[in-house]
Amino acid sequence: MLGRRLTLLMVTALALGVAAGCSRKQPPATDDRGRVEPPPVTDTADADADAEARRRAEEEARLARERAYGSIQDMIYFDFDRSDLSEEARQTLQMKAEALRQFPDIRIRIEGHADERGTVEYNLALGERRADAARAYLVDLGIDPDRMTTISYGEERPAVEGQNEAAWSQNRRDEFVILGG
Amino acid sequence: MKIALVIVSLLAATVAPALAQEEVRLGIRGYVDEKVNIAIDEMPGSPVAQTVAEVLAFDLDYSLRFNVLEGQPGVVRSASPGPDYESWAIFGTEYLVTGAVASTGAGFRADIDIHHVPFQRSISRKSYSIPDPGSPGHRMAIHEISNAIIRELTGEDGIADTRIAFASRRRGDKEIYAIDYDGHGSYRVTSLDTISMTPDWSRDGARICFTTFVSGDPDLYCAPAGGGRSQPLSTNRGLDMAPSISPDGRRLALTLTKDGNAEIYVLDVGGRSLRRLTYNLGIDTAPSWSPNGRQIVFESDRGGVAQIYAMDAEGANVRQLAYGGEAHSPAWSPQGDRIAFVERVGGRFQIVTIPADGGSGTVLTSTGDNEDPSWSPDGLHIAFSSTRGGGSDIYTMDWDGGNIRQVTRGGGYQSPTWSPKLGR
Repeated sequence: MLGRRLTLLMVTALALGVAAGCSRKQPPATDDRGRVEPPPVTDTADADADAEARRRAEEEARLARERAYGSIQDMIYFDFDRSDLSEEARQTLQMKAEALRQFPDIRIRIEGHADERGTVEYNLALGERRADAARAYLVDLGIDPDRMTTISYGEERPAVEGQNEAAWSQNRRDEFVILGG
Repeated sequence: MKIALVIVSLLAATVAPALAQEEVRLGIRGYVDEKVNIAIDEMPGSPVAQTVAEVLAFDLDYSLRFNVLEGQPGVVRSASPGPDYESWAIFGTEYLVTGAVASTGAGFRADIDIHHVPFQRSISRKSYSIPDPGSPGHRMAIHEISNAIIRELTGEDGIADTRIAFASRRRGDKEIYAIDYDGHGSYRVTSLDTISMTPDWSRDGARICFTTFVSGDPDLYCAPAGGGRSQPLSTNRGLDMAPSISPDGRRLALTLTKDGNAEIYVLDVGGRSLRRLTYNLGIDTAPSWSPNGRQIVFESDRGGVAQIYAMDAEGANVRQLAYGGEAHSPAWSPQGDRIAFVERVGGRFQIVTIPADGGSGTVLTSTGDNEDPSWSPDGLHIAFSSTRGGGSDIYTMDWDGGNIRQVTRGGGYQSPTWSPKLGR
């Protein structure tokens, strides 16, 4: 019995982990923390109300988590050949810090990107600088550095294809990938 | 008239024996200023013979040492053996290459003659074996004939036996490919299904090293140049990128971010010892060795915008070389006297060269964005990527910007790196 429950928990946790790992744009529509809802014990109205309250609480927790995922995944953007954070980027990062404080189990990977102008090597270094800038600011805001890893993709993974400022401005960015939680 | 003829004959008698030796070498040391007229005779027979004639003509023209005379003069083909020297001479032909190509059952044999037309005699006759068309060594074997002719007549090494490695982008991933310098025989070097980029050849041409995301975090790996299993070379935390192998092949300059931001290091490949060369908050990357291995040119944005700097191979004596717009990807010429790099000119990236000791630059390109210059081993040509045709393709040009030739087609190609000589 215990063995089965453990297995069930592990499978659920695994599914959650996979969903979180894969998700980039969309928060996983899974329930909070992977807890398995116990079946109702009695048939009374009291118990119904309890169950309803519990469902509502869990729904709220799920929504809160979805909101947190959403704000953590918001991208930030940079000026050409720059890695300093704009006021807008700082505000976006402050929202992330709040979400990360609220859900201390969430770990993230910060991916730095560059537009296609400039050389491959320079852009790889620039992307790393952009990822580092976001990470450093989040550390300043009190987030444990061990919860964040960084990687640069340089100009290799554009968000938008195109050879104009409209595309380039979308590509000079940090993406935030939720790894666990 | 008769006397003159006698004198010429006498001259021929004394000079001719020396033709294949030092004295008559064309003596091209630096850049080429005088070309010698050479003709490739028709090579009748099989399509292989025709390929031989075409490849030789392309290679000799490309070498910048010869004017390859186009078209066939009114050559009289008499029953007597040997070329019709008088007819060839009318067109100012100095050297004539004739050949016979025959199947041996296991490939082909080419008997190639080089004639000195004014002296009306063959100065060299050699036989070469050529694998069947379609086998991997087919065109390379013909390129090696070109190199033998160039060596025979100039004493210099040709580059007909070289290839260009590059990165090919497909659906967000990149693989390393290589292609003959003339745009034939493209093949895949890596099959890692990730981003692999910025290749560099080992000095013996046997391996290609590159940056790859195969382990998640960008690391340096090397693969056999002909394709095969990739092996890790440098796998620090953060970026391991921009490999540049020293002329003696014992050291590897590279960029690492393990200590914070992008800095240049030198890895002693044998002893595995690592030495850090740069210390500042800017991005320092794209190292390239001087041909004597004592200096490294690199790019750095320590002054705010990426610019070209040089330093000793130990990291001392750092100095800025160019003072133009944003500049990237320096490459030190194998002849040592010039450095090519990319500079933003009027909002577009162009290939520029400057004297290695600094000084004013020469802009070599003008159409599209042009990046990633890489010198041919003889220092007379530059491979680069360009968007002049729409997508990014690989091109080559002469050292002075002339003779731009397209090497790849279809776009998605970047980071060309010219191989060392690959032939025997």
